[in-house]
Amino acid sequence: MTIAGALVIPAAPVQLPEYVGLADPAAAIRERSIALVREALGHNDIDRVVLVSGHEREPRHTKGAVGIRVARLIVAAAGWTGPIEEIVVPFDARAEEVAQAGADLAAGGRALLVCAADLSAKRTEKAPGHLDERAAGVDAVALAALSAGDAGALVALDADLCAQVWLTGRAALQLLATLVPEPANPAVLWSEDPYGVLYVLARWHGEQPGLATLGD
Amino acid sequence: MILRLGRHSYDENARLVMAIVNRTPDSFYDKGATWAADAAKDRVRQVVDEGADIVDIGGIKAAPGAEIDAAEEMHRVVDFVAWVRGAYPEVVISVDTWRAEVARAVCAEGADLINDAWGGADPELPGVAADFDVALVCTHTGGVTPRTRPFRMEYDDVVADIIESVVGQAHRAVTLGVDPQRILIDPAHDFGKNTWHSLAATRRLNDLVDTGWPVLVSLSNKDFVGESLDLPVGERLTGTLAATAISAWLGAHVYRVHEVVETRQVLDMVSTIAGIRPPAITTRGLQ
Repeated sequence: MTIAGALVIPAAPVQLPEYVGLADPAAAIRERSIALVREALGHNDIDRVVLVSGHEREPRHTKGAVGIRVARLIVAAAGWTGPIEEIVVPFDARAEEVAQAGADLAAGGRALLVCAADLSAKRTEKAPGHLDERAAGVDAVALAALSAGDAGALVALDADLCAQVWLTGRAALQLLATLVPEPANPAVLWSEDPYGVLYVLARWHGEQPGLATLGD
Repeated sequence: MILRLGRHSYDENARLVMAIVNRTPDSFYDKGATWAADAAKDRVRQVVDEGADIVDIGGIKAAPGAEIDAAEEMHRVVDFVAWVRGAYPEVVISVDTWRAEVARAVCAEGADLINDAWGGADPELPGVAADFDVALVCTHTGGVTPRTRPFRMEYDDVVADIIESVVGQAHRAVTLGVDPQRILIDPAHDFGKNTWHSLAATRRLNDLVDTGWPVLVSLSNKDFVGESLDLPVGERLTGTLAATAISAWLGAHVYRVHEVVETRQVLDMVSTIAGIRPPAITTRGLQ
C-alpha cells in the first residue's frame, strides 16, 4: 500500500448532525475539514480512504468511535464514494498496540489517511477537563511534531501525561506517525481551542516524493 | 410509595422543595453569596420561611476547581448542620457530599439525608446512612470522577443507563441496611450528560417514577436549561420552572432548587391541576 497523504481533522462530536440544535456551532470547523479532504482527494489518484481514530477501550455504548463517525461525515461531504477502511485504536493504547493496529491495514493501492484526533481538553478553566497548566506544553510539542513532520516526536508523546490532560488524539496520532514515518511537506494549517479543547487541521504528504502530490 | 425523611413521612403525591444552601465561595449560581456563616444562616431562615421542606447543605461546588479535602469540607458543613438542627428541629437537613467520613460527621450532628450527588463514588457512604438510619439519594453520573465535567459521554439509551445505575445503587444500599423508605433516586441532570441526555431524562422521567423509588430532580439553573434557551446563568429561572412543571406532572417528588417561592408555586399549581391538591380557595361562580 502506498500512503499518498495523511490529514488530521477535529474529532469533536459537536460536529455531528445528531448533536446539532438550532445553531450549528461547529459548522466552520467542519467546513474546514471538508475542504481539506476535498482538496486532497482532488490532487491524488486515491483509491481508498483510511479513517483513523481513538475510542474508549470499553465503551458504554454501541454507537462506534465518535472520531470515526465524524471522519465518515467529513469524507462523504467531501464527495468520496469509494472504499473506506477504518482503524480504531483505544485511547489508552501503548506503542505496541498502536503499531499492531497499523499492521492490520489492507495491502495494495493508494490510500489517503484521515485521522480524527484532538489535542488536550484542559486548556482553560472552562474546558471540559478544567485548566491543567501542563496542557499547553504537551499541545505545543504535538503541534510542533505535526508541523515538522516529526513522526518520532509524536510516537514519543508520553501516554500517561496525555491521558492526564485529556489529549484524546494521542494514540491515533501515534498510529498516523507509525504509518507515515517520514512524511514530506508537513503543515499545520489551522488550530484553535474555542471550547478549551485544541482542534487541529494538519496535512502530511506521503513519504515517496514522486508519488505524493497531495495538496500541491 | 412511602418516603421517610427525618421525622416526616410522605406519600407518592408529595412534591417537596429542597433548598440549596451552599457553604462554598465559588458555586456557579450564587457565587459565594452564602459563604459567610451569617449569610448562610440568613439563607436557611429565608428558605424555611418560604416553605422549603428540606435544606441541602453543600461544602464543595460541583464544578472542577481547587481541591477541597475532607477536613475542609467538614469545617464548612458540620457545625453549620448542628446550628440548623438546633434552630429548626422540623426541617429536613440534607448534606450534599460524596465522602463517607463527612457524611458520618454531619449525621452525628443531626443530618437526615445524605445527598450522594456523585453516584456512589465512595462505596462506604450507604453504610453511613444505614448506621444513622438516615435517607440517601442515589444519583446517576455515568461513572465520572467527582467534580469533573462530562466530555463526549455517549449512551445507547441514557434513561436505561440511569435506571440501571440508580436502582442498582438503591438495591445495594438496602443490602447494606438502609431503610428502603429512606432512599431516593436522582437522574442528575448535567452530571455525566450533555444537554440532549438531560432533556431525555426530563422527557422520560416517568420511567424513573415507574421504578417505584421516590425521584429527586436537580434542575435549577443548569446548563441544559441554558443551552435549550441560549441563556446564561442568572436568566434561567423561567426555563427551570418549565422543567419543574413537567417533572412534577411526570411524578417527581423532590426538587432541589435555588428559588423556593417560585418552585413552590409551580409545584402547587401542577398538583392542583393533577387533582391531588385542592385549589387554595374557590369562590368564582360559586357565590
